[in-house]
Parts: sequence; structure tokens; C-alpha cells
Amino acid sequence: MVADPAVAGGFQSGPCVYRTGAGFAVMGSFLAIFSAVLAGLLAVFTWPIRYLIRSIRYRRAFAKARIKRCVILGLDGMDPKLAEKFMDEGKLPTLDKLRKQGTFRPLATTIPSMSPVAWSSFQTGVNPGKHNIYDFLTRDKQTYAPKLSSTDIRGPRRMLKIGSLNLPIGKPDIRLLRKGKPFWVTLGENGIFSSILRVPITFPPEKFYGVSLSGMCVPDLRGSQGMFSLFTTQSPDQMEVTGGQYHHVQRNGNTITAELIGPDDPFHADGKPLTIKFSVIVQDDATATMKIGSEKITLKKDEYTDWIKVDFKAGFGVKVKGICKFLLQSTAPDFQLYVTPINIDPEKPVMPVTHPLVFATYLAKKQGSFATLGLAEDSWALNEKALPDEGFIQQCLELDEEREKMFFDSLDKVSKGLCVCVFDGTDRLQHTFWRDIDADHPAHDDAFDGRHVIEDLYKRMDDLVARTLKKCNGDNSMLMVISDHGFNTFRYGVDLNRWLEENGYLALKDNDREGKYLTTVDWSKTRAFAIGLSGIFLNIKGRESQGIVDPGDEADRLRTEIAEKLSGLAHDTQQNTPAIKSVYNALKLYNGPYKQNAPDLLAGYYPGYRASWETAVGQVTESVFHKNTKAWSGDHCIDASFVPGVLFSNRKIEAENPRLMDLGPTVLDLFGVNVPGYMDGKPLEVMSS
Amino acid sequence: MGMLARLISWLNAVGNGLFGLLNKPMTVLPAWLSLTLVSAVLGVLMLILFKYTSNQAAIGRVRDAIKANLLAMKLFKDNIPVVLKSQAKILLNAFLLLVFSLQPMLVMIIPFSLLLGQLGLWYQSRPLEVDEQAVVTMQLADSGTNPLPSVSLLPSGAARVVVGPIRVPSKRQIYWQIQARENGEHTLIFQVAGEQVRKELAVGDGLMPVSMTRPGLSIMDLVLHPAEKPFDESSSVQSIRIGYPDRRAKFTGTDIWIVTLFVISMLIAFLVKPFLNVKI
Repeated sequence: MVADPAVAGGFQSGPCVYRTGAGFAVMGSFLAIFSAVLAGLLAVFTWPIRYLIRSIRYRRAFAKARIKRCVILGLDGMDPKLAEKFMDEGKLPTLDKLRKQGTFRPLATTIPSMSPVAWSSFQTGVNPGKHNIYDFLTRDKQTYAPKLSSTDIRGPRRMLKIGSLNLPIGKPDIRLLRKGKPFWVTLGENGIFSSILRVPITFPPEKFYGVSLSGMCVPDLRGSQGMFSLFTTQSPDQMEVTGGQYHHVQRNGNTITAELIGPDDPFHADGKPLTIKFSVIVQDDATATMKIGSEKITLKKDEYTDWIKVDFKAGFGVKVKGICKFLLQSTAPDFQLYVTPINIDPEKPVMPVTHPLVFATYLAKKQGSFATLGLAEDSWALNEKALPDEGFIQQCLELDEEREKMFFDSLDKVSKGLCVCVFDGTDRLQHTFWRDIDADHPAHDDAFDGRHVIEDLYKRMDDLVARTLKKCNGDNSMLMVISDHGFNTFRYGVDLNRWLEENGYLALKDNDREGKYLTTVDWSKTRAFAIGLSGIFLNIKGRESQGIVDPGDEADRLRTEIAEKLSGLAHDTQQNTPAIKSVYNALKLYNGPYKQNAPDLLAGYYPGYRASWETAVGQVTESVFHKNTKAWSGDHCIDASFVPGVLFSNRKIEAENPRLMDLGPTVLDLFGVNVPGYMDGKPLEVMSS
Repeated sequence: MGMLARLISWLNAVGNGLFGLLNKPMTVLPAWLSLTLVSAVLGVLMLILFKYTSNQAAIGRVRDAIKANLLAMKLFKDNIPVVLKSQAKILLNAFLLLVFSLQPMLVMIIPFSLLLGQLGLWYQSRPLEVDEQAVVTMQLADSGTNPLPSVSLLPSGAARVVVGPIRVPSKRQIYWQIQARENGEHTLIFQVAGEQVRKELAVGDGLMPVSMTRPGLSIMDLVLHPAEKPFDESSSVQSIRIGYPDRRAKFTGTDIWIVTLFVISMLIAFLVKPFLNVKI
């Protein structure tokens, strides 16, 4: 058999030659197109079925709704008095427009007026006795040590031990300690979609019909609420400071090598943390190059890097993924490099920070890496002087920018339903720069008289509101701009434990005043103690592990006695200025199944005063009053009557004294959903647009 | 054209030496295994080349946008306008991905085309077996109405002429049917109007390079048939082709080998890309 000479020989692969070379191009695009078309077809063709199911299941969704969309822009800590002042001065044109055409009211906050408590009441529509959050911290009833009040994170229950290895079996146990049901869960049960971004006390995220990104109380990769690192050639007085760690590094010629400390090794019981080595080569006074993992980064003085991915290798091919930013502060004479707390990488989160889980990946792919840490603005680094003022302001601006991107994306994606987004920069910048606007503050520095950090912040927020309002125009959207509390100055800290000691309610072992976390307290002689920012607990038998106070009449009498004595506490060295306005008995103040978990007494301070830094961490000092010289110079942990939040809206709201806990019921009512009977908040009367 | 053809011819000569040397150890392996190994190496090489010739940052951004839109379709699936918009954005980004892949594609086309030519020598056809017959076609230069020159295939121990020469003046072609006689890499010698021209002949049953055509100075022919020195433009012979039989194998046969090469190299590239940190 003879092959046809015309076709035999010469392989017919002319076009094939290009196949392999072009393979990557075609494959990549093909996969993308294929996925898009498949997903699109699925979405389109299954839409009628899903629509039918949803229509039957949620046949009443939007049927009675008076609005199509509700947008709640949370500006944590925006103060009504400051806002009013700036509006009167013509500096906040958009908020002023809302004041004139819609609504502006002070918004009553919770007692105590703290973000975790207030935002919990906002989302559940109930008083703290029903949602169980009374402070950032509470005490461990066994050890008296402070612990986070909102979240309980524990390792997997079972571990397989092989020699020195500890292999976790199962997932870590992460529990949200906030009780009650957020109103967007109720909306979802009625077929109304919600996008909830960075609302405090939403970690771990709950399941509902919508998407959410958790806010305040999401830990960093090390499990703390934010642990910065400062690498310096200086020899710091102490290596461990509040909220961070100093690392002394040696300079070898132009090269500095160090280790970034990550989370504890999950496979070893010795608790040694995982680390990543990095090296920095100083180029000149203003630049350096850094090598960390496979990344090579140029560091520029006083400029944050982008979020850098850091993978901590834990063995067995397991990597714990985080992100952080670096800030080169100086190269000479001393080298100083600040590193933000290592955030959970949203692209591949080691803990759930969103609902559904892929929402974090979606956001990361959409806008790049972003901060996931609950308290992302590193005010501790500023307090401990690891960050200069400008560095902190820049950090807040960059975080707000990230938040804006996700907020405006949610406005684009959710045309019907609820959009909530909380911006924290307003809170952090007022906390840390109130010293600029209070000339009598111990940390005030005349050198910064021309600086307008807080005014600029309010103007920036006004611009944000303007852009949000633009997105809400003409589509039957209701916009509410709210804050959880206002602000005031914080000049002096009150050491409640010292006061309790002076008045015979608390005793120390060997007069030891160095120990933190109440470790030096003699519990056999202590009837009351303070921890956190507003609470006094009685040492009650059967409740506290070493309680000595009978839970019945004795406890009641003691509550009354301490409240009476402490109310009207005056600052002796400051012309007897009153420091405490009221002391609230939690059992009388709250109602609900969890009120027993509240501190027994809550101190309501006058402006200028707050629980001292030492009280917050359970340390007992030698004097009741302490000058606050830290950058953290403004606060709201005072009597709630002094620090209401704000309520702006593009619609008229007929209510003289609206409360934060009324907003959830109001939104339910606007969407025509029945307000659950357990809610303490009441729907506010909203006029049609 | 002449310059480029000569350049390709020179590159082919280098490639022949290099590839012959590199592929020598492969001759002891079965064709499918050697092709798998070659494809794997090629996949990694392409990946590395792609990494350094493409805009990785831009490709990363486009890929992220595609993934974000895919996730948006899942997350906001009840919102049909969002789904449709996301789909449109995916298609747009897929096109962008193609655009960003053009640069590395252009860089890769020349070396990989030459490489494919080399691989074609090994995997496209099999050598003749002893006693097996094949057609040899000589293409003569078009010189108007001049009659075909006198051409003969000189006798050799490698093959014997069974039929021919058969002359087809209209096509200016001359055919022989030959029968292989002895294993090995041989040379057929033709006497063309007093001039001797040569063509390689492969006879055997193992994996060996098979040059189907000794080409003229045509770019495409040079790329596809790199093994032998091309005929000059002035030569009265423009090409000599031997009709080797197809390889009859599942993965390495005629025209299938290139699919195998494509699939395996792509697969290896996709597997290796996370380790080499390449975005494709």
C-alpha cells in the first residue's frame, strides 16, 4: 500500500505549532469565560425557580415595605455637640442639609456608653440585660482575670499527641457571647437581604440572608485584640508594652535581620510562636529594601507599605496566613520599623470573619487585602509612642479608604434591602486627638495649635455622607447616619480599686501594687472590686470562686452603700470637682435573662473623668486620681447622659428622644416586618420622603 | 526572507545538535514516557518564560477581578442585574487576560515553534521497518517549460528502488517507491543533472529522529522540518520528502503527540505554578 504522496509526510501541524505557546493565554481566558458562562447560565436559568420559591416562602417580603432600601452609615463616636458646632460654622454642608431637610437628633446611648454595649443594643433592639454585653471586658468568675466579654475562642476539644507534637482534631471553638437576635436576621427570615459591614460584636459571624463582615472584637492572627511590633536598634526600657512588643535589633553594616512573631505553633504544646525571618537593607536616610518570605519590598520612610502577606509555616505543609503593613520610621542614627498587628488574611481566613466565608475572599479579590482586625486602628502603638501622630492619622485614613470601597460596593450590589457599615476612624481619632481641642488637657501641646485633626475628620465624614446620599437619591432609599455615642475629654483616670481599698471594701496581699489582673488582691478580705471601664463587681459567695458576700440582703445593702458613697466622688486636688455623677445598680437598671452577668454597679463619670488605665486591667495604685497624659485623651466611658450619639436622616423622624435601640425596630417597621415582642426598642415614626 | 530563512536554518542546526544530545537518553525509553518527560520539562520552561515575559501584576489584578465577579454571582445570586453585570465584567476581563498574554505568547512563539519542529522529528512519524516500502517525492524547481532534468537514485544498502522514477512534469515532481533494507540512519543519494543531492532515511524499530522532508528555503518548511540542511534557492531540487508511516500509538501517534504534549505541559504548568508563584 503506497501512501498518497500528496498527503504523506510533512506533519499537518502548522497551526498546532502555536497551540502550546498560546496555551496559557487561551487556557486562562477559556477557564474564566467557561466559569462565567456556566455560572451566569445557572444563575439566569435557575432564577425563575428561585424566584418562585422565594415568592412563595417570602410572599410578604416588601409587600408592606415603605422603603426599598435602608442605608445605615455608622460613624462610631460622632458627637452631636461637635457636629452641631461644625454645622453652625458651615463646615459640614451635607449633614447640615440633612439637619434642615431631614432629621438631626441626639441619639440616646446605652449605660454604659461603650461601643460593644451600644452596638449590641443597636443590632438586637434590646437592653444589655438581654444581650449580655456590658463592657469590653468581664471577669473570669474562677480566676478573677479579665477576659473579653463578647467572644470566647478555644482550641479544638481533642488533640492527638505524638511525642512533642499536638495534632488538633476538629475546629477551634469560637463563640459569640452576645445574646439576642440582630434585626437583620429577622429581616432575612422575611426575605429581605442585608449587607452588614464592620458592625461591632458580630464575631464570629452569624448565618442570615445576606453578607456580613465582622468588626470590633475580631482578633489578630496571634489571638490578641491587636499586638503591634516595633523593631529598633535603641534599647527600650521595657520590651513588653500594652498592645505591643518592642524588639531590640542589631545593625550589621547596612543590614538588619529580625523575626516577625506570629501565632503560637498549633502543633506544639510548648506554646512557642511561629516566626518569619526578615532582613532589611538600609539604602539611605529615606529608603530601605526588605525581604520577607518570597517578597521583596521597598520601604520608604514615613510611608506605609501595602498589606504584605506573611505565611507562617506550621509544618505538615500547613501555613497560617496573615497580612501586615510596615512603616519605616527611621534609618539613622537609630533604625526603627513599626509593624501593624498581623491581621487574618481575608483572602484565606484562618478564622471566619465573614458570612458567608467566601465573602471575605470576594472582598479581598475585589479591592485587595484589607484590615480584618476588630480594632484595626492601632491606638495602643500611638499611646506607647511606637507610632507618631502622623503615622496614626495616616493609618486611620487608609483604613477608612478600605472601608469606603466595600461600603460603596455594597451600595451597588444591594439595591433592595438593608446596608449597614460602621466606620471606626471617627472614634479612634477623637480618642487620640481630643488633646488638641481641650486646652486644659494634661496631654495638650501648644505646638499643635494649628492642627485640626478632629475638624478634618468631621469634614471627611461629611463628604462621605454626601457621596452616600448621592447613591441613595431617587430610589426610595432611607439613609440614617448614626453614632453609638458621643465624645468628651478624658483628663483624669479614677482608680476605683484604690477607692474601694480606701473605703475598706478591697484588701491587697502585702500591699503589693505592681501586679495586674487583680492578682495581688486578698480575696478573703475583699467585698468589691473593679475591672474594665465602668463596672464594680461584688465578691459574692457561690458566684465568684472566693466570694465572701452573701448573695441576698448583704449584697443588696452593699450595692446601695457603695453606690451612695461613690456617687458624687470629688477630685480633692482639683477644687473638689465632682468626678462621678451616678452609680447605677445593674439589677435595677437592666431587665432580661442575663442581667445577673452584669457588673453589680456601673459608675457614671462626669466629663473629664473615666476609669483609670490601671482599673481597666485590675491593678491597684496608691491614689484614686491619675492625670491622663496619654495620647488617648478623649473618651465616652462616662455617664451616658453626657455622651449621646447622633441620628441624621434624609427623612423626617418624629421622635423627641430617639434611642439607639429603637433603630432596629424602626428598620423592621419600615420594611413592613412585625417588631418582635422581646425588643425593648420601639419603632420611630418616619415621615414619607 | 532569505536572511530570516538562513537564521532559522542556523538555529535549526544548533537545535539539532543540542536536542539530539539532550534527547539521546530518551531513546531507551518508550515514546509515551519520553514524550511525557519532555512535556513536563517544557511545561515548566514555558511557565518560567511566561513569568518573566508577562505583566504578572496586571494578570494578577485581572484574575482577581474575574474571581471577584464569579463570587459576586454567587453571593448576590438573587439580584439578576448584579449577576448579568458580573458576567459582562468576567467576559471583559477574560479578553483582557488574552491581551496580557499576547506579549509572552509573541516571545514564546519562535523558540517553541523551533522546539516543536525538533519534537516532530521524534514523535510525528515512525522510521521504516526493514522491508517496508515508502514513497519518495522530489520536488524540482519551476524553470518554465524546460523539461525535467535527468534524475536517478543511486543504489545503496539502505534501500532499494521498487518502482520509479515516475516523472510528473506538470507538477515538476519525480517519485520513487523504495523498500528499506537495513536498520540505521542512512543517506539516500540522488544524481540530479550531474549534481548529487542527499536525503536522510531512517530505518529501525525504536525511537529515532525521522526527517520526513529535506526542505527548501521556505520559512514554514524550515520550522516544520529542521533536521536537514535546506536546499538553496538556486538548487534545481526544492525538496525531497519520504512518506514515512504514521505512528500508531494512543498518545504519541501522528498528530496526537502534539495534543499529548499540550495537555501534559499545561497540566504540569498548572501544578507547578503555585510553587513558582506564576500567575497565568
